[in-house]
Amino acid sequence: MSLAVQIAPHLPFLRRYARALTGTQGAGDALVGSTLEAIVAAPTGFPREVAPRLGLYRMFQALWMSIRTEPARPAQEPGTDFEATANSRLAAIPSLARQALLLSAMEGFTVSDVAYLINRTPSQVEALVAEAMAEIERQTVAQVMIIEDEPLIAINLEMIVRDLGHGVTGIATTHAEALALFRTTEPALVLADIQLADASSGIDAVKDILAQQAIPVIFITAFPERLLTGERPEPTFLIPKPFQTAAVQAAISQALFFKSTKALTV
Amino acid sequence: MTPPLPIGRNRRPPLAARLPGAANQPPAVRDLGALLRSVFATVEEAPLPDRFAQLLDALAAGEAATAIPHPVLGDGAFKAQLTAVIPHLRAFGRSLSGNPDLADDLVQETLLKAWSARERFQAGTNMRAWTYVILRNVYFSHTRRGRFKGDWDELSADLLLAVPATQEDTVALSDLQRGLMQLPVAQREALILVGAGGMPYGEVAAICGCAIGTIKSRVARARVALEALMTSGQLNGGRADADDTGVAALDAIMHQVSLLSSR
Repeated sequence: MSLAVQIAPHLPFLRRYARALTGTQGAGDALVGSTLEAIVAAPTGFPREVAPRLGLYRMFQALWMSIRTEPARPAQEPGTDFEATANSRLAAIPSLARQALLLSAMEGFTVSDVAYLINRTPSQVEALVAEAMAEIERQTVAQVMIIEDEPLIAINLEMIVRDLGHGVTGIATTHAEALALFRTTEPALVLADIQLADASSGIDAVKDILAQQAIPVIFITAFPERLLTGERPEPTFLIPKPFQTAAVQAAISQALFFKSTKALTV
Repeated sequence: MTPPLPIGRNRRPPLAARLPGAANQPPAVRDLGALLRSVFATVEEAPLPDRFAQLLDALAAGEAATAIPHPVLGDGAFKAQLTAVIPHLRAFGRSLSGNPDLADDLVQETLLKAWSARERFQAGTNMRAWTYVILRNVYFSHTRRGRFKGDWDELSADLLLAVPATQEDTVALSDLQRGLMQLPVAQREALILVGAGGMPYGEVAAICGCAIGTIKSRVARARVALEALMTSGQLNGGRADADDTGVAALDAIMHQVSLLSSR
């Protein structure tokens, strides 16, 4: 099969990687274009001993690494708010760790493939990914407020939050407590139940909080249908009880990564 | 051996093949990866810039210019190899079309096409697979042309009126043949090539131009559908009280086809 046919299906993904790596579509496409030009000029230089996708990324990486100094990340192009946030988070990660993170997490390469792509050993790759994850953790570490009247569930949620490296400002069990706690502690994220201790509503509490300040909110409830009837304050996430720890972790990470619980629709 | 495929700029590899590393990543890394992919989803879905398409064309053109000519068989050797596969072609054509007369027409056209394209056959590669591809294309272009053509044949009709009921075993077999003809053509040919042709899945996938997994699932679905047709007896027209199970009858037709192809 010809090389052009083999690499064509992987180009959209290489463009995505280049854009995430450089911060803009223009800079990313320029690099992908130069990579293609290099392949056209010398097709025999394309690594044939590996899968076409790996070979294509390898050609790109060789070009990227031959540029001694990384071009300054240009001014933000018009994109979604999500992308702007993601870009600013990625920009703070050192270049090599960012490459290791994007190639593993976003592009889904194995550790040994990433090692081949960036000319490092697998253990170095793992260390670089850990370094990048630590940087993102450092950026996203936050204080979280919990509105939940069941003590066991509240403790469980608190543990999940603390295990992710975040702090807990407190646990409110009623509407009034929630408002007081919010005013005194200024959390960056709210985890809220709906049915509260004194029969007050978590939905109302969250509405009052959102009226004061737009912050991300995650509802964790055994009554998801009450949020589907149109009285759900937007934008919020919704996790039905009984919940899986991984689902709560992912929702918290996403909310704090984007500083938002808007629906991620593109 | 086959003409180059059109450059599939919009074809995507399947997800599992795209993210082989995800399985062994810590959940936090995997979640972040999913977030980033959704943030940059618009980039991935956007059409490629024209410049990339031009570069790909230049790459393809450059490769075609420097391609090494493949070894070609001499006419005599080609003829011998082609003759050797005729029984297989007849068996394949018969099973595919369900009509012996049409099958021989298909084989004849296939032989003509193969002969005139003999320079494109690469010496040392599989003649049977190469000619099966041709026969398949001939059959599909025939069925496309003949979509609105009835298969009424006056000669056969006269014979049918004159000839008494067929022998029992043949009837059971023809039930299965009718069942086979009721399957979607993709399933039918997969079942025929794997079952009767005894070909490895990989070769069948190459002939049909799809993935090995696709062939495997087509064969599996064809078996299930055929067995259901045979046991429920819901066959199109004619005798429908087959007392044999689908599997046994299937063995019979496969046996018949391999007899035919070993002749």
